[in-house]
Amino acid sequence: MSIEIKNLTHIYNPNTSFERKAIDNINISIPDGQFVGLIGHTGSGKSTLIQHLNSLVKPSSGHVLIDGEDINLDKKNLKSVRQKVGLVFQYPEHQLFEVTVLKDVAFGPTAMGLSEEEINERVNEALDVVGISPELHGRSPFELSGGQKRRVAIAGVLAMRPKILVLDEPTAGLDPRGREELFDRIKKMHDRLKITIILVSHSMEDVAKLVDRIIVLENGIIFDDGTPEKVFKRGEELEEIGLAAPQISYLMSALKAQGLDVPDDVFTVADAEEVLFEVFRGDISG
Amino acid sequence: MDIINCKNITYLYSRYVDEEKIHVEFEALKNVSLNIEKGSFVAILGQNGSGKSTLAKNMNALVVPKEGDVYVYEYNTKNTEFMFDIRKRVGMVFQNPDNQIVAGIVEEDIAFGPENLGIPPDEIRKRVDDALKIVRMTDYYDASPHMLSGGQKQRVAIAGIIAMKPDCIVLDEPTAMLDPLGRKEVINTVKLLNKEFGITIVLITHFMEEAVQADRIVVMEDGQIVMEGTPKEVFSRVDEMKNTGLDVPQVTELAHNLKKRGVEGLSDGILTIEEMVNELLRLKK
Repeated sequence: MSIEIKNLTHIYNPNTSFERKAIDNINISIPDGQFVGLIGHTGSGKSTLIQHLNSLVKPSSGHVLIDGEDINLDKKNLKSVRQKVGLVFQYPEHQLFEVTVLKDVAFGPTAMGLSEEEINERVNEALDVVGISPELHGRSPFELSGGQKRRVAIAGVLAMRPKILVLDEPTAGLDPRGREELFDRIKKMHDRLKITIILVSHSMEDVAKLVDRIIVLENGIIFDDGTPEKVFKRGEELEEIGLAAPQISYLMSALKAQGLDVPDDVFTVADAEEVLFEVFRGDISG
Repeated sequence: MDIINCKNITYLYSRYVDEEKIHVEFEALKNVSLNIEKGSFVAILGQNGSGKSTLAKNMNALVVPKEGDVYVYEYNTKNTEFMFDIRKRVGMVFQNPDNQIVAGIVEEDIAFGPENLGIPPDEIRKRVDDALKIVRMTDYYDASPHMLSGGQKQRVAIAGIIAMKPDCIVLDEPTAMLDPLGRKEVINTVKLLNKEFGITIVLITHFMEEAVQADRIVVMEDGQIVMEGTPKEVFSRVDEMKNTGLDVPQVTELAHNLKKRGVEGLSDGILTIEEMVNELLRLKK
């Protein structure tokens, strides 16, 4: 499902001394099925922006169109909008509450009033997508590891079968393996379900590995928008706005600055390995 | 000299399974011995659930071991008489800054600790000002904490600990919720406290780039210490680290992979971009 954000502005506490423009007249168009990374320092407007996507907050001016439809036109649509656009907040495992994994994931679809058969099908599918094996289904969600808990919480949103999934810092606080597993799952989920995914993250290394496109927010406006290659080339500028490029980007820039003939738009370990292997292989044979 | 000495400690958590009220005991720490030398900077790595946080909580008597003993200087943490003496010397900073800020104004929040230690008002004033200066938050002395960024809040939390003049600060994933700038601010502050003020640092983290800054790294797995050494020693063991569910800095991994594929002459345990650049330029010549 496509997302169209038109001249969106959001002002917190308007007409008070705390008035603050969190989003300043931005335009974004995301086609169906795209995997987008949204980055920006704390307070840059990321959370405000994503909360507009399912009308948790309403624009001060401007429009949000999901599949061509303005979601704020008719209040009656809210329910269907929130089913179409699933939001996974930071630390979603804090929202787990049921006695078993199955019951927790079933909460959303049950509230949607689906048949028991349909609920079961969706719950099993969602848990399968996030890689929670059947022997864990009957366990208390609170008995699981941090990474598992978080995947169960994400399954709870997936079970509503959203067409657009927004993940806010899904790997914060997870250990490296937990991070890798979760991202691997998200990537597979994107390939399998063909849904639009918006990933908010502070980990540039992780964003670099996953997304087709990066949108950089700064002070409520779009600082940059493009492929990871394009965005991470601007490492120094990203640092000026409190962000960073992946470590590999800095390495490649430094090597280039020292006169080595390497491209500076490489930002993953795997790509850098290929490039440097080519450069230094000559030395091995010769 | 050791500031903290954990001697063969074991710690058990009780768990209740499902609704059936089956009582299970779970060993979070299994016979762990670790000493923290005064003035050192130690990073503790390990997967979620490996026992890192439990170990940290044992270091200032937030919990006491079931078996074995923890000494802070000569004080055994099991003796509740020493609790004040221990907590005055070993301060803790947790992951979520919002959970550890108690007052509505930055300087009042920092004064909370020393006030509870019964420090005279003039001295508190001085300590708060000094602490604000060290974490570079002087300009925000009268700000409301909820208006600050995550990195700023975390630095206020650290200032609150500094104002108690501890000899050691234990930080449990202090940067997990922060953006890249916030992470850098907090880590730079931690380094400053260690290098300039001689405060002993125990840093628990999931970010390998942060662990590189330490003098010594301790790796935990399943309630036990499985690796220990300088960052260079520990991160040289790339495959072992990955098997433990951990990682190494990106440049370390890159150098390791290139070596595996036959690029000769790269040394083990390259930790920083600068080292990697120098190594590669040296090879090119």
